[in-house]
Amino acid sequence: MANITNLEFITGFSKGNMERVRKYVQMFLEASAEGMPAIEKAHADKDWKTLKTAAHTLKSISGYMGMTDTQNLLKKMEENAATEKQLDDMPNDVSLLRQHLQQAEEELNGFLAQN
Amino acid sequence: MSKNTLIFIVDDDPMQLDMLKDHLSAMSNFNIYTFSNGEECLAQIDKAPDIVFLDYNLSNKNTNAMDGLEVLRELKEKNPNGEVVMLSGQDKIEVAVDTMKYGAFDYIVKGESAFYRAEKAVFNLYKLAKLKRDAGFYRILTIAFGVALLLMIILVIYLKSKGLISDRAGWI
Repeated sequence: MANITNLEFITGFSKGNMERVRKYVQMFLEASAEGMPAIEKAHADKDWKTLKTAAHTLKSISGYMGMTDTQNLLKKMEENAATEKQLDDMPNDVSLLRQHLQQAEEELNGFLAQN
Repeated sequence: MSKNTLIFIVDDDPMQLDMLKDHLSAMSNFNIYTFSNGEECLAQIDKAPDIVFLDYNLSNKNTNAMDGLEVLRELKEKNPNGEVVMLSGQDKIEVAVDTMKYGAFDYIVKGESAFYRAEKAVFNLYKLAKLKRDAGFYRILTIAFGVALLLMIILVIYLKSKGLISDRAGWI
């Protein structure tokens, strides 16, 4: 399976300082651990406003972890929740997002263990 | 803007906040304060920050929190000489126009290029501050020349009234 994360940007941004890279990776993992349950709860409650804001928060920071596909998925979810259109896609999108974030967590924890 | 430029960063996302703070700290010896909401930032407004980087969506985690536009309006009212650079995850033109309408200096869409844009905004603000200083100097210079000219005219009128100078060419 191809990697979902790519730490090229964050490593360049940190000018190769691994302490900083580790800090940002940990912050992302914390945000992801907080964001995914918030999205799932908002989806179950059909609380589209909360889902929109939770997706918005994860959108930018997933880009910093090189997760382009996840970022595009979150953008779609944010827009659909904001406009309350294409809500039929939402169950699949939430499930796909969960898979993305689980894979990212495994990869990033692997990175933290090695660095 | 001096060497110890005071910068406030306001964002409810801790990762964005840290990344921008780290990036700006690496640029120069800035005095940087960070806030996770607009209310805390406004409580420190008496410090008169030179630049405020302000997130547009500040009510993500706390729906009762002031949003970016509200904070922008108060910042411009209470600290009119400070410049505000808005940060947003939305690349919508209407959002950018709105923030500019309320006096934001720039609007930056969050993403990989945002940090370079923030750096550029600080550089542009330095240039603007220098232009303002230069404009102030030339204004004073113009007023001084105006006053000198007026004094010359008054002197000529006075000397003429006393018959000490005449309109005719040559020596009196």
